[in-house]
Amino acid sequence: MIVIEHLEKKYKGTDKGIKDISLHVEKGDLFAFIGHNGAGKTTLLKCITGIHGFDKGKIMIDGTNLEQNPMECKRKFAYIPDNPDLYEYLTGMQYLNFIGDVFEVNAKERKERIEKYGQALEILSDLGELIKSYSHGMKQKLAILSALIHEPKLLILDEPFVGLDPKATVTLKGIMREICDRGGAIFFSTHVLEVAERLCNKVAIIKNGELIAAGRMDELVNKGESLEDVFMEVLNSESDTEHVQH
Amino acid sequence: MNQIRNMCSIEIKNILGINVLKHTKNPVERKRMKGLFILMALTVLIFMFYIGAECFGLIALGIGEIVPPFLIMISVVIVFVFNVFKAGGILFRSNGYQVMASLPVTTSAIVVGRFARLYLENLVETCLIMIPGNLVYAFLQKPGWMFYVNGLVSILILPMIPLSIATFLGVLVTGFASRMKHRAIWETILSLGFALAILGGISMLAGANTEFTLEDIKRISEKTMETFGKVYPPAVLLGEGMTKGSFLPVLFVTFLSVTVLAVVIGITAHFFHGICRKIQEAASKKTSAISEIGIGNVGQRKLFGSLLIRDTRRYLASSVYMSNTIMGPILGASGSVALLFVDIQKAVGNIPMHINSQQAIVFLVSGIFCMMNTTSTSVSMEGKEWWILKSLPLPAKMILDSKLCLNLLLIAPFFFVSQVSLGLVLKGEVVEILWSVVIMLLFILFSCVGGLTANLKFPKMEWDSEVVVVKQSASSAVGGLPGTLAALLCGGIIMVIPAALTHVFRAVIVLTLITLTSFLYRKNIRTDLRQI
Repeated sequence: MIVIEHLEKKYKGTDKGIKDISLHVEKGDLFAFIGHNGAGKTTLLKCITGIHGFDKGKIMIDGTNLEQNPMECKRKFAYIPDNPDLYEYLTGMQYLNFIGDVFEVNAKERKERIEKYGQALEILSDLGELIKSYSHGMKQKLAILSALIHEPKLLILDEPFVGLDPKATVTLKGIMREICDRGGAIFFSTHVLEVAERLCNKVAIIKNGELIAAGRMDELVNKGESLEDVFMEVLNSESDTEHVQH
Repeated sequence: MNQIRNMCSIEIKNILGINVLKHTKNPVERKRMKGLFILMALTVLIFMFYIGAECFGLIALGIGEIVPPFLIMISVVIVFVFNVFKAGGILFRSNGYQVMASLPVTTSAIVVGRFARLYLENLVETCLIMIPGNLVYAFLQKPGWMFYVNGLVSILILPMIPLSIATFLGVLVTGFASRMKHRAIWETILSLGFALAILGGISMLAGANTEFTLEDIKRISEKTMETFGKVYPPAVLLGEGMTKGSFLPVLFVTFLSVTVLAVVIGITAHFFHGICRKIQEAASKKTSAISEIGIGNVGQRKLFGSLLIRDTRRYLASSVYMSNTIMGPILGASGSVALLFVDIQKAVGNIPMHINSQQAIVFLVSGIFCMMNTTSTSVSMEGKEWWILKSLPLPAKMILDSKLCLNLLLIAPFFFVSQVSLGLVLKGEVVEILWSVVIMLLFILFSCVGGLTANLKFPKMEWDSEVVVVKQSASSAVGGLPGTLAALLCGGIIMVIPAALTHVFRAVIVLTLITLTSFLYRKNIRTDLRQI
């Protein structure tokens, strides 16, 4: 679903960015992307979603080159940022209709999906209000709902569980599993290692803009160890570990 | 006292983006800001030169005694008009309010801090007008030392009364509108209404007179001072204080200004939290519960239509954006209508040279329409929500076309009124009417497309108040300028060229505008929006 090859992006005038990242996310993968603050997680996600350009490398979304055909790529995924700044001057419903129009979702399907996911996330009754009045968690839920409205094959999320209440967290996990079971894929960054360990089949660890570990969860995390142990180990090690091929 | 100092300091810290320039490590942003400062410096120099030249002209005409009050009047009008639209947005901005409200800081300290920012910004504007003009006066008229003392005091106190009046109106407007359903629209209508009413009142008191006899010109100094006295008496008092070296009138106006400002600060502080809370609460009023509208409100629109509606809602949600961009078309249309009641030939008849006044009018009105376009700040207004459009499958062309279309749709009704009026002024001559339509349309299109070019070149995506984008960003300053200046220049040229050449001249202008507009449009749609 996502093929990233030797991706590099550096912010002008600084040393910050990402260096030589190569990664594969396949159909059915629930792929967690972890790293310390400022490691480059959000930068990578923004490069994949076309918000940032990049200096070197290649990104393919479901076989389509992002640089050559960005529109085609963007139709295949949905992105939810860590801090969803949404159009505060719109109501929730107006925002959903806007997203539905962009992805050309017909009225019948739109209605069904809004009802289904709106009820699951318990936000249906708030859709008539201005987004300006929403709490952080409600904005997060609306962003999730808007991402699901066109039933994307690929979901790219940046810290999706921050600000969500426990019930919504469980619901989101269920939705993520559902997408993967359908042949889709999820690629998300998180600081919550327990969730990543329990939910995901693959994980990648980034440190100072470089990928230092990537592969199947059951291969990276040995018996008796936790993902947290592995994370701390690779973070504290002086040399890079070998990349695990998935 | 410490609290007031802290609040003033935090408000003033990033005036004109100085703090960002000081601390940013992003070389692109640094370069942009330096470019902005250079541009502002150039504009300031040109403006100061213009003011100095005007004052030189007045002194050369033998009516130098009106220079100080004349400069005071200009300053007062500019401070008033700018602040009617901006004071509410700065005083009651919701960004950061909740943090501020939870701190152990008194309301008066918060309000004084915000007033300090407004005062300082207006003091800079006042200096730009007063200093060059009065320097020319001082150089030519050689007044005593009291001129300088009174002048300095006058500059310092000048912004206080107009700022207070504008702020008081802003408080009334914001306070009233915060209780209404469509707050932004009410704020815009009321702000524009007050501003136009006061400007109209000034014109009426001044008694516009298109006929000047020789006797009138001799008495112009007296008539002008009479008018100033009716409209804004402190201008006459301060003017007298400066020209006659008398400190008493200056002292009186100082006392009055400080008192008025203190009263307005007091009133604002009294209602501050109430208004801010209303603004915050207004957003959470249920516009319509989902159970009332039902899920049946789900609809499907064509993508471009959906984008345009979204842009329209964005526009209507901001009173600052609306009031600052609709003024140009309103003035253009009302100016055109006013021409129906003015005999231009009579007005220019006494000037001993041939003037193509009717052809010039079209260019001059076009220049007014070009002044304030929405496209100059339409990308910046996306702010922190820009990621949404960038991550969606939307071509840059469609995103930018939507913003262009909104600007044109907003201007359309005013353009229609203007064209009907000009058609009557041009006495129904078909060829002249056609030229009028084509030229004005092309200038407007050029201005709107150019505005987008300016915004894509000078975007400002990080902001805490819409005022910063709409009034203080580089693109807002330069966006409408080329169109306005070009139109005014063309108007000046066509006034004096031989009548036989006017068709050729206009044809050249039309072709030039078409070429430039096409070039800028293609440049815009090829922009990589990821770089913004």
